[in-house]
Amino acid sequence: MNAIVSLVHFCEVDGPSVIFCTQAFHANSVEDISDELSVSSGGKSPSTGQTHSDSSKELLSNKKEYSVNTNRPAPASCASCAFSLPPLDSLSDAKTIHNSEIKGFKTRDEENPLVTYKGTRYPQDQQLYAAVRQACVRSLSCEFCQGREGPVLFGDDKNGYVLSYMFKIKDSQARGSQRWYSFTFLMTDRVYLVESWPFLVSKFRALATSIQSRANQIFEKENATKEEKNDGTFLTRSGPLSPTSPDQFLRRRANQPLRSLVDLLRSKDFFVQLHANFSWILKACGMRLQEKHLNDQTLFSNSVVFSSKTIMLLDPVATYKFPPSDFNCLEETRIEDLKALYNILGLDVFRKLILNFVMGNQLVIKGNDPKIVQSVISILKDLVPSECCSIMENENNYQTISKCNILGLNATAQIPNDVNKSTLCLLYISRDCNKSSKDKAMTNAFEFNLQYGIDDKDNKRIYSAPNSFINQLIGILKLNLPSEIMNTRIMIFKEQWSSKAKQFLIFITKSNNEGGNALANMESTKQKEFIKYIDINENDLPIIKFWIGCLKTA
Amino acid sequence: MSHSEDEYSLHTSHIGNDVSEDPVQDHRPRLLIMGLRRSGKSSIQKVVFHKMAANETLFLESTNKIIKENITSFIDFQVWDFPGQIDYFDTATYDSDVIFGEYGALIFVIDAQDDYIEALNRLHQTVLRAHEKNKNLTFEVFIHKVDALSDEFKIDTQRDIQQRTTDELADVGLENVPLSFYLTSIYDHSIFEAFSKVIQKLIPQLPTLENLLNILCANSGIEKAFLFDVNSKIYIATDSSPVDMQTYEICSDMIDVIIDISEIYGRTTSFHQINDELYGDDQTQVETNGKAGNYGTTTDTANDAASLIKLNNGMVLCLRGVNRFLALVCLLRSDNFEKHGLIDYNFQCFKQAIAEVFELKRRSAERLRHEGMRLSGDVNEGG
Repeated sequence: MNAIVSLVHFCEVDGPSVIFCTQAFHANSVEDISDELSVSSGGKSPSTGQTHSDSSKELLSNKKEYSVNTNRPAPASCASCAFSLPPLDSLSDAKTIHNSEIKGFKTRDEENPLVTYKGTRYPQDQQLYAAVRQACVRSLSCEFCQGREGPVLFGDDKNGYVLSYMFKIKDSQARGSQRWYSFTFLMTDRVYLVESWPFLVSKFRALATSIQSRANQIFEKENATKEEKNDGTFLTRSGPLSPTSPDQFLRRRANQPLRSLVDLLRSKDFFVQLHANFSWILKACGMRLQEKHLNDQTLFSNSVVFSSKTIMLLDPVATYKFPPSDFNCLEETRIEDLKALYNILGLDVFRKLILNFVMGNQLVIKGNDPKIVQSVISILKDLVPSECCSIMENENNYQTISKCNILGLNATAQIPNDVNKSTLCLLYISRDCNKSSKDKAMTNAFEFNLQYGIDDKDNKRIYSAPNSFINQLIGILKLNLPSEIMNTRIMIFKEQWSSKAKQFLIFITKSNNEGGNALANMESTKQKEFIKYIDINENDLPIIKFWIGCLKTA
Repeated sequence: MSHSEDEYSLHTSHIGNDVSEDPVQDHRPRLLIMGLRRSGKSSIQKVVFHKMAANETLFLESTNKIIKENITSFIDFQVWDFPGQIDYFDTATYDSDVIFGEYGALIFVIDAQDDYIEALNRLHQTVLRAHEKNKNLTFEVFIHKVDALSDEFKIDTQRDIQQRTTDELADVGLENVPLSFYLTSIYDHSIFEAFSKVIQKLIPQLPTLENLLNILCANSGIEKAFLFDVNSKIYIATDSSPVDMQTYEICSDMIDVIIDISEIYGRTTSFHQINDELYGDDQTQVETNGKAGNYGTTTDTANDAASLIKLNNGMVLCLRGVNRFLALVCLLRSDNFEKHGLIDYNFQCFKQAIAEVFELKRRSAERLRHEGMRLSGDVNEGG
């Protein structure tokens, strides 16, 4: 993902100006440092993902020099649009690029050593600078957002596409007591940007709101002190701004630049935080669509309906982190899909496992081969809405249900005795070493053991109810469909049930709002009618309730 | 006069390719208000077109984008308020052909209380480049914020600025570019007067209107007559006798008085529809520029607003509504006001003549619109 996040400001003296921007560098492309992020490279992504090298450390040091040897003209020294750093000792995780003068921050991605995030006043690359500058001017002095504060998206192929979130903050010294700022997110891929819109807007909004509330507090404080000075009588109309005559007021500040954000917000490490936020946004935004994309891949493996192919190409990290080829070569040690799992476990164990899981009990998968455990987890997690599962794939110790409801444990880990065994279902699964892995009948290649949890086996009536979740699911699995269609069918099945859950949620909240306790009896008959109508077996209500709980909190 | 703030539409954002659907609207004359930051552009615009109190303008925030405003009145025009910080001649970012290409006037505001050398440089650049883009643009220089300057200093400043500007323009061979200079301040009527003169240049019917006013004055014993735009208090025409600032002020104050009174007593808030008859000579004392006077308002129908204020010095102020936007305010001696009938008759004739003048304009506009529609229809068929 090529993107650059920046904070821009409509400066009282200089007009629109860039204050600070953060961009990600992928270390596996040496000579492309500038090209990679240069928007002028158009839709073509840096195809350097495949040739990732291990020599990233030296490259990093190379880049350090690069960022110092810049031929950018000295930025205007207007205080209101300058960015400044706190004293060095207060910096912990961000490392300053520090040579003759401080130019910015560099943050290394701990999870991915190939990526660094650099925060500077301007991007180093000329073309990129032009694009950022253009975005800045346009977002602050051309584009208009309904309500004046909020997001807009604009751009073209030449200068890239920009999502700009405009906001104003209070400043008692500014004209009209407020100043305009905007976060801009510049990238070449319009589709990606539009896809990221909800994410980016929510993050920018949160960031802007926090800045605004901070500024508001200070604004109130400053006003209060000014009012005290003015005896309070003077303030009926002219407000706290004019202890002197209008002319003096104008004269006094006409040629004084306004305070920088650091002073305005009185937070010394404002730009450090901003950089951290920007870096996180860049990273998270990159991760976000990547994940979605891979979900698609498992769902429609090898199918051509790949709408987001460009997105895949854009990000070398994606190919590095999750090489798809991995899955193919490991085929023999993993369980491919739900049907395979069903075949391995057999009806009863499978039933119990699924039932416990979809009702919200914790599933603990233990095994000596983490790959198998992982594959079981990845199969099972698709059975419920993504909000309903929190996963820990490979742990050495037991984690409580509040932390995750699917837990992958290694074989030696023990379940503590004080854990409530009725809310927990333990599956031990591993490859049977006695049998040959080449045995084509995969069903025999595993040994397994299921413990704890609840079971409905004894209740014949419920057990055989045709419309229950579990029986419907098994019905699908028995259909003997090709695996792709099967996967699609299961996904649709899941969607059906989550839509039932949503309907039920709406029903409950509605009836809760309308009637009090007095109507409880009537409500319950109503509820029975309703679940009958949307075709839920009464015994599946725990499932629905669990899903509702997750959907609500999500 | 109705204001439609363009600020809240997407229109503003498409500076690059501003294609209006309505050809008539697109060819409205433009008033481009430019100048350095903090020179008072937005204040002028707010005071003149939004009736903002002058001391409230202190709290305006700085303008960060071009604020376009459509003024629909006797003539339709647009006011564009530019942010002072941005160079709109930068061809990489802005399409200056679109911005400066239309018929209109460029108002350049100079802060007279500040050091104006920088402003003059900018003015010079602006005139140079805007003239290059559009030869028909007229340039008006507002030497602004002169309220704090002494009269002598005002004149000196104006002379100095005028001298420097014309010299510099002469150096680059632009002697014949029409530049007008005005001393303005939002704290008195000078800004309205200056705007009046700017807008008068944009009215093609001006000679006709002036001629009509001359005839009216000569035949009714009127000392001075102004044709006002009621909402902005800009006068769009006056007779050919010299304009005395005090006369202008008192006439424009009269409009305020009438609007205020009609807001209180009128059946609707509109000044044009005063149906209540007011006999309150003794009850209401109106202070206008220190002269106490009494007034009476009598009107019957919408465009027949009329009012009289007798001044202490033997003069009579007389207001008559002309149409939705315009009102005629005249100053005449009370001796001449004896002949009520004659004056009323003359008013009627004048009103009719004005109506005819603007009818012609309306028709041509309509024709233009039809042509435009046909044109766009053709395009639709073709596409």
